[in-house]
Amino acid sequence: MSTTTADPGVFHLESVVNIGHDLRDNPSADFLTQLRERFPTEREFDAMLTRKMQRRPQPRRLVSGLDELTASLNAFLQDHLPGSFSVSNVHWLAGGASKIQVAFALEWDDPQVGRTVTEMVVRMEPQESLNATSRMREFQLLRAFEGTLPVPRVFWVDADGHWFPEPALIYAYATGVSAPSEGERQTTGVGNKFGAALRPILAQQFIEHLAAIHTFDYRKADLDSFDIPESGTPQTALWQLNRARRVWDEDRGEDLPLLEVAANWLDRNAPLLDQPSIVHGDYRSGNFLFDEPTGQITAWLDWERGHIGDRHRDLAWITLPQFGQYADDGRLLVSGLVPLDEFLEAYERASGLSVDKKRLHYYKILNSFQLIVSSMGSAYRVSRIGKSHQDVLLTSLEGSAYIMAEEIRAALVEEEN
Amino acid sequence: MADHNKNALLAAARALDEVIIPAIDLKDPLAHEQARIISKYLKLLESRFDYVYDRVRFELMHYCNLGAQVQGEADRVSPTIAGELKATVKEARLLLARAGSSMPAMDASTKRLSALLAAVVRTCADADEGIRSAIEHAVLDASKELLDAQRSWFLPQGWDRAPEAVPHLDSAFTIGLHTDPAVRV
Repeated sequence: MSTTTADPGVFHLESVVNIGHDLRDNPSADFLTQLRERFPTEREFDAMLTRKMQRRPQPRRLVSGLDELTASLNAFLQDHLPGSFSVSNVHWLAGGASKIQVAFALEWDDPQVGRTVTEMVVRMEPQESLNATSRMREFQLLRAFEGTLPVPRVFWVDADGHWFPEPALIYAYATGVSAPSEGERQTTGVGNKFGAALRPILAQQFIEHLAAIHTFDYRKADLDSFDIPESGTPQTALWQLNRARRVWDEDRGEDLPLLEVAANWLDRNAPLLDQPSIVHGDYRSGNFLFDEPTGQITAWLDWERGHIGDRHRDLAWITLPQFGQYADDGRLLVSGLVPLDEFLEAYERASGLSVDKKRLHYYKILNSFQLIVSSMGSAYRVSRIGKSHQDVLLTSLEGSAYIMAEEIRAALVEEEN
Repeated sequence: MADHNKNALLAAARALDEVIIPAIDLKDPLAHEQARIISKYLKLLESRFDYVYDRVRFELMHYCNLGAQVQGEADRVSPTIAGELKATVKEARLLLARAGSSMPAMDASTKRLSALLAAVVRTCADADEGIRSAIEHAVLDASKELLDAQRSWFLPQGWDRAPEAVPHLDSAFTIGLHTDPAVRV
């Protein structure tokens, strides 16, 4: 065969083989435009990824210290509070690979209760985050779910990083623990163990809260930073897939042909959406706090992956083995709380929504795909350019990618047979 | 000759564990977390130090084999990519056959091979189903040995839920279902 311009591989030769560190570390406007055109996704996802790439060539600066953040906080409050206020006890919070969190006490005139002292948290992007997500969307989701779910009261958002070094959210400090006080904690919240007494108490709430999220009427809330996917189409699945594919092309430091096979399969098999739901996006143990003596969940956190889409995205995420634990009888306890089959049945009863096994399977593969992109692609690039506050933690995520890659490989081999 | 590299890595990890971490202010949990991560990584690296060259060589062998295997199908989806793949496989074989090929040279060849294979898979998405299936099947089949080897490398980190299924490091970089007869290992 002769080589002509009709060879479809020429495009991929250019866009895969001839793109290296130079262009990924210092992306050109053309490179960014091509990615946006090739991988259409939700507007806000596109905006966050575009912002990330446009800012990537900026010089690296040291992680903001407490003095700098306190100054930003005071400037923000000066412009947002009508009365006098006082900030004290500013201190770092631990935990999490992608966001900087600082707690503080604010003495102020709370419109709800009058003069008071409120413990609050600033949640901010580092200069470049493992996950480039929207503080405005988190703000809108937290506000939407006040009164429906235990969520921290959210006060303000600096959506564009006008006062703070980067976009930031301020919400109430939530009391509670993410894991029992006895037992090993993981930085990412994954791998926590609950005892036999706590499990049923937490499990019931875990299921009821998820049902509440998925049945929430998003049309009645101010969620203008969200796009609503079309029912009866594969749009939501393709938005999610495209976002992940775009991030892989923006961030990776190496190629993994297996991941391309997975992308092809995900594209070919994108399922139709029956009913749009709000999706938390990272619903699992480690992302809720609870009162240890009573077992009552006090707050659901980490809504940065939230979107309107297919509930199976959450269901599949929750059921990933890496977010669960195995009971003595060998059954997977989702989030260490409840056996998988019981969880799905209880969810259907609580929500009135069906669980489609085929879609669950699809989103399980898509979720693993996204996690590999994040832990092998973004974690590499962000730590390489040195712009997060957790570079060394990000480098330690690489090993997890191969476990998930083997799960995808095995699932796709089963599909072939 | 004494192994000063591994000695220094372990000494650095001990310094972190016994001197530096205890001295970090408890009010700085981020510093604590990161210091512990660094200590763990230094220990991981020390335990894998003797296998670094084998790993680089193995990855090149893996992609060289896969590249040779899909050459025929690649030519049917993209003669341009297939031509590049053929040349790069040839270069990889020379590197593998030569004693003392440098790690950067092997890494660069691996990088190009894996990128060409990724391009083949992307291109075959729109190809005839038979060709697409053949290429994707070859990648899926070959990937097991690569993933097993990587899982072996990272085993001490504790991610793996089936550690008993992971090959020992001593054999992880010599496994292979496909052996390229053009290369004598």
